[in-house]
Amino acid sequence: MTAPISSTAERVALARRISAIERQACDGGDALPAAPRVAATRSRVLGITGPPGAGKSTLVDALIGRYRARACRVGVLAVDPSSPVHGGAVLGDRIRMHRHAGDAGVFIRSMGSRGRTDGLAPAVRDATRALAAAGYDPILVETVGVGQTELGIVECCDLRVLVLAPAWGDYVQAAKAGLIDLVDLVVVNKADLPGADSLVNDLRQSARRDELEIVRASAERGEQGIVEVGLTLDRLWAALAAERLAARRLEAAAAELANRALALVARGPLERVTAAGTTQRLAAAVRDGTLSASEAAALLYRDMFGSSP
Amino acid sequence: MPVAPIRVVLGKVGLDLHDVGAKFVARGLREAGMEVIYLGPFQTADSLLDAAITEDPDVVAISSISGEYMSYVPELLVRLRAHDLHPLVVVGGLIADADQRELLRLGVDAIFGQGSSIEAIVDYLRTAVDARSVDGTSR
Repeated sequence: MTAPISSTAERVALARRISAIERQACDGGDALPAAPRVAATRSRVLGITGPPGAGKSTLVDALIGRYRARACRVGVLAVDPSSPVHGGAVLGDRIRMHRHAGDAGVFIRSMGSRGRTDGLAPAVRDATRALAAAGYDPILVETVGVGQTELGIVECCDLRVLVLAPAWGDYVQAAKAGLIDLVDLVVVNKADLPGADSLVNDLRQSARRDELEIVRASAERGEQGIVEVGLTLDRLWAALAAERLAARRLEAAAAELANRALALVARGPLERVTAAGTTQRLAAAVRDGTLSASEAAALLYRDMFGSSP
Repeated sequence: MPVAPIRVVLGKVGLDLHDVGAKFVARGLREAGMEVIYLGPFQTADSLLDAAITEDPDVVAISSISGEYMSYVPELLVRLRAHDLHPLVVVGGLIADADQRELLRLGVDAIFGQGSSIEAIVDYLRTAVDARSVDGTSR
C-alpha cells in the first residue's frame, strides 16, 4: 500500500523526471533511456475535457478533494495552450486548485501544449507513467479547452469525462461533436444555471448510445453532484478494469504509436523538401488554383520518398 | 532542435489583489516564448514552494505592491534552500530601497521595480537561465 503522501525529495525527483520527459518530447521523440517501463500501468488515468470555461479545473479541484478524503495520492496534469507563433503560454489551471497547494499527497503539474493540437501536450502519456510509477492513483489529465474534435485524451486516458455547461450550445452543437461518441461520462456543470435541463435532454437525444452517463454538478451549490460524479467514475472504472481495460489501453497505445511514427517518418523528408523550396512552390500552385491540395500532396510525397503514394 | 521554453512560476503574495502588473508581466513573458505558471494572488511561502517543487520552474517570480513581500519572500528563500531547490527568484513591483538591498542580500537574484520594461525582464531571465544551464544547475 502506497503511503498517502510522498516526501519532498520524491516529489522533487518526480518533477525533474517530468521535465526530462518534456525536454525529450520537445527535442525529438527518441526513447528516454531511463523511462519507467514497468509497474506503471495499474493507476487509473482519468481524462477531463471540455470547452473553455465549462469548469474543468473546478471539477478537477473537487475530485482531488474527494480522492484525498480516501487517502489516494492524486496526480494532476493540467494542459493549457501554447502559442503557435512564439511557443509561450500562460498556464492558469493551478489557480483553481489553490486549496491543495502544500498537500504532499497532491502533485499538480502544468504543461503547455507545445505544438500538439489534440488538447494534450507531447509529454502527457509518459508523464502519466512517471506519476503512476511514483504511486499516484488516480491521475487526472485536464486538457486545454477544446471544441468538438480534439480527441487526444482518447490516446492517453482510461476513462474520459466531458465537462459541458448550459451556455455551451444547442442540440445541433451537441449532435455534431465527435467527443460525445468517445467519452464515458458527461458532466453537465453549472447545473444551477438556466438551460441545464434542456442541455441534458439534448445530450440524451443526440447520444446514440444508451450507456452514455450524464451527471449534473454545480460548484456553486457546494459539492452537489461531485459525489455522484465520483461514484459514477468508481463504477465505470470497476467495469472497465473487469473487462475492457487491456483492450482499451492497447487501442489507445496503437493510435498514439501510429501518430508518433507518422510524425517521425515524415519529419526528415519534409524538412529536406521544404529546405529545397519544393513545399513553397507547390503551396503557391495550390494557392493559385493550378493544383488541388491532394494533387500537390502527391507530388510532394514523390519528392519526399521517391515513389508515388 | 527546438529548446524547451523557460518556465516561470508567477504569483502575488498575501492579500494584495492588485494584479494588473503581474498579468502584464505574464503576458510579456508569454510573448517572449516562456511558459508562465500563473498562480494569481493569495500565495504564501507554502504555496510558492509547492509550485517550485512540482512545476520544476527555472524562475519563481513574486509580484507585490503592498509591502507584504517581506513577510513571505525571506521564508520562501529559506525553504527553497532547505529542499535543495535553486530556481532563480525575482521580485517585482513596489519594493522599498532598503528592502531591495535586504532581499538581494538574502538571495533574491533580481528586483524589478516600478518602470521596469518587459524587455529588461525578458533579457535578464534569458541570460540568467542560460548561465544556469551552462553551470549544469538545471535544464
